[in-house]
Amino acid sequence: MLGFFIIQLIIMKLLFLLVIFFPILVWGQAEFRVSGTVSDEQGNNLPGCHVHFGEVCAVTDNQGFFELTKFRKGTYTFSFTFMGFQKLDTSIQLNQNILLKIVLKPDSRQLGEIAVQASGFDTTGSKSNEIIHSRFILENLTGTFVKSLERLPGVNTMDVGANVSKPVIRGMGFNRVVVAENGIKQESQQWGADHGLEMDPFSVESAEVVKGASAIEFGSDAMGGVIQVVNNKVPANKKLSGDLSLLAKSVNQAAGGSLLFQQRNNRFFYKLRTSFLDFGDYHLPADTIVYLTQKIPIYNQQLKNSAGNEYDLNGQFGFIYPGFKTVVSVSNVNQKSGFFPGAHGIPDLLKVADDGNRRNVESPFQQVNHFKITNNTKSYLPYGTFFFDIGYQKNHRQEWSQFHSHYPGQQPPEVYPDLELDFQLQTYTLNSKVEITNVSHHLISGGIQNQWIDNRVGGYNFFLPEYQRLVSGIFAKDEWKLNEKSKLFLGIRFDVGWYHGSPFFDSLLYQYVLMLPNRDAAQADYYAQRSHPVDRRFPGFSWHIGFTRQFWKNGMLRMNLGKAFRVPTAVELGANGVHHGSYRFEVGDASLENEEGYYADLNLEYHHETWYASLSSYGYYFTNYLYLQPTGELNHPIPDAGGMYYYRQSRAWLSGVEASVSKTFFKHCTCEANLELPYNYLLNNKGILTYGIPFSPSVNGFWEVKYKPCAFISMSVNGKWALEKDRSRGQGEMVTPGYAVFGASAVVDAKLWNQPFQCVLQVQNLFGTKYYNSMSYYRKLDIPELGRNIQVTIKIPFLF
Amino acid sequence: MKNSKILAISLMAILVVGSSCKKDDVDNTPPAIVLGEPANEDSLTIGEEVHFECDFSDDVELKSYKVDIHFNDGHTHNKSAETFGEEGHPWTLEQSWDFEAGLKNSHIHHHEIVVPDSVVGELGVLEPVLRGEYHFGVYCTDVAGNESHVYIDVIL
Repeated sequence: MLGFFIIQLIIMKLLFLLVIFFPILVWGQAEFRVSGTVSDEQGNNLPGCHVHFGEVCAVTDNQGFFELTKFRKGTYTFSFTFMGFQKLDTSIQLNQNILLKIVLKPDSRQLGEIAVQASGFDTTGSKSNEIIHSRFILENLTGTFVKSLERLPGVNTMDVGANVSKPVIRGMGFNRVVVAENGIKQESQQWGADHGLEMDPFSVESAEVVKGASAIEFGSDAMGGVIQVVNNKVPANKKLSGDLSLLAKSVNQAAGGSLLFQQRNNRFFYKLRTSFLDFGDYHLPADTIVYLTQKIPIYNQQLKNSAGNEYDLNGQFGFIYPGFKTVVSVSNVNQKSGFFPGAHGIPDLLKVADDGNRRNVESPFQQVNHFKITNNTKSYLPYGTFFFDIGYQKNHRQEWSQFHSHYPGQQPPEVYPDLELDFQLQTYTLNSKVEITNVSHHLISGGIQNQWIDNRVGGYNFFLPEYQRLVSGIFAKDEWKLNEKSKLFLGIRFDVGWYHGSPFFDSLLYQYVLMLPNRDAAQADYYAQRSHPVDRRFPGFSWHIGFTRQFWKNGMLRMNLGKAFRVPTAVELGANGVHHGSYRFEVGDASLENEEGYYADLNLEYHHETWYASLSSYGYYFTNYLYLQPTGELNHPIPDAGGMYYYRQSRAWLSGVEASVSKTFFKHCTCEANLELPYNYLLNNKGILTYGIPFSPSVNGFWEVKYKPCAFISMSVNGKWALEKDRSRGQGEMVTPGYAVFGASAVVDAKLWNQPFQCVLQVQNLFGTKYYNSMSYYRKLDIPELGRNIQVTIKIPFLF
Repeated sequence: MKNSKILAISLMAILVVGSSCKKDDVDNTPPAIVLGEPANEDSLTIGEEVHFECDFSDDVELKSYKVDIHFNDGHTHNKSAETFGEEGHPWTLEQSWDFEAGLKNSHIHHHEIVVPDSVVGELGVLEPVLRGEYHFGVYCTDVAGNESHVYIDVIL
């Protein structure tokens, strides 16, 4: 029996997808039967293959045969899934009994592209989403994965210079967006404005950007949306394959590359990838910036000490058995990047003087190492599918800055005298889920998710306390097919979070305050107690109702209603002191409750021949939105900091409209336009809108005109714009002027000596426009966004 | 027909959700600071009062101001600050004052800031104040929490 299964899986060659229909006419019957066999390209039958049509799932028998009955006349979409093979979707017009012969193509690295093209809509969920495949990432690669998603409506980025970005979906960022890799939530320092996302941009095989709250599947934090990255696809059988990618950028003289080897030998596969990126100080279209009323020169229009590098390693080992797949992934991402010294603290002209070296990284700088080991196991059972994910990740982030940065007149520590901050965040994840597929009209799933976080701190400065957090959640959901066109989605979830925050006494600060005139020991004690012990429990409850309906021939309507929540972060609960990165005196509150929001959204999507249009609107009502409120209190002894800020909770209204239109003219020319209209405000006690939400985008858009005269070349011009952010700005945020920047790109798919390759030439900020991103870390330092960038990306796939 | 109805309702819902509600006028304008005395690169005499003269104004109401003086050493990464080769301990001042309630403009003139001869050093003994370049910062906030700052350099 075992041998038999193995034989089924042996595939010698990669062939193209074949679907052959053998219609059999049967007279005088109102109900029809669909039956057939599923095999691989060698003609081996595939037992245990899942045959889905909507809510029904049949499984092929030992001969690879299946049969479904009681169909009425009409058009049905069937999908065939089998582990290790590409999912096949096919639409069949039924007016007689039909016998299908299905040939599945092995799963390979091109899977992402085909999955998108296979059916017009992803009808699996009720939320508006964007599927990103490897081709999109190649064409939009900029050095970070998140930055390449920026053109999507409703997706923005917060940046620190050229190589640190984090996502903002529907005006929500930080801990209100979840990034998951192969189903495991990435945990790093997402609470802070100067931290990025540690993920190798080259290793992303495909990704899904879900816009809207996804609390049922992800629990805490999934309020604005979710980015799900997938990179554990099964490579083609037998042959050693891979690719070499190379990247060069002019704006910061970046050179990068990535090399992948992968091989599959029937039941086993492995992947090895190594990537690197090395970049210099970046060019910005300004000779001076104004910070704290002082003019600071930018020598050679290069932002001093914005250089850095990144080295990543990824390894993967997988085992596939009919109906079973398990993959172990190990990755390590190491990033080092400098901070502009002229604006780290009080402006100082001496620190920004040209040191004659564009590529060196000097103090202050940050270094992050993200290590991750995960296992994803999937098992197809007769009644459904079982998923089991387990992961360990360690995010080690250090900030180095010469001692004396903050409290003058003190001696540095003996060990690592210049290590200012050191965070070691360890996260253990254990998730399991069961999807029941054999209930007619229903796809029921349920699961348990657990996450244990342990944060350790070090360094001569202090910001974040040591803490431990456990969040456990249990959920159940149902996808109920009401009729051919409509589906109802129901979900419910309970979570409990336990949080323990350790106290911290900053003896350096104590000495410093004591030394000041007009300050006494009691005050020194107060300010030096940077965090108090906190022990809290955070229960969370979420629910979701979704509805989808197909209209006309190619239209789709999606609606969602629900509640999502977020457990407060360690900073929000326990901060007391100056945030090293923002130079703000921030005070946390140990009595904060879970942030809870109710949401409703509506999405209309329409495809018709050369047209594509999508329109979404959403609204969130938060009963206790967590934000940092300035108070204007100046009576504190901490140097370099202005008024005190308190973490408070307020009612809030976050809403917006996203629109996207694309049309292909004369077969070769495609025009695309995306628009985002956010409307995000805090509400006062009377329910009247007051200040804007900090770190949310202004009205913005993207457009592109693409000309593709033939299969192997395409050219495009594009533009990105945003309106001024003034009326909608958060309390204490600066006015950010609007902008329009332009870009161009050319993509070539060609062959050289029989070796196919892809080459992408991109120009960003074509006219070197000086503009600001209201959400960037450097905005408040008056540092504009990057200047003109010309970039070349080459990808050479190979097969031995 | 049914589809068209659903569509029409959906489109209306999109417009309703996206449309604006009643919005309060909020104060997002930081106060203005015009520092008269001391001026950039002025010398302050050790052991004497500082002649401080500054104009503050805000569109709604002023709250507080603060003077932050500290030695220009902490933020450099090489020994670039001129210390004139003398021994001593850096002097730091963090002092804040509240405006009277309801003020939109205020001209402040006082001699409350005194540069001491000596400060308590690390070992708890008095040390002379270190001479050299100091940062002299003025912060101002309004009642809504908006703030602005001015930084100059002074020589002790």
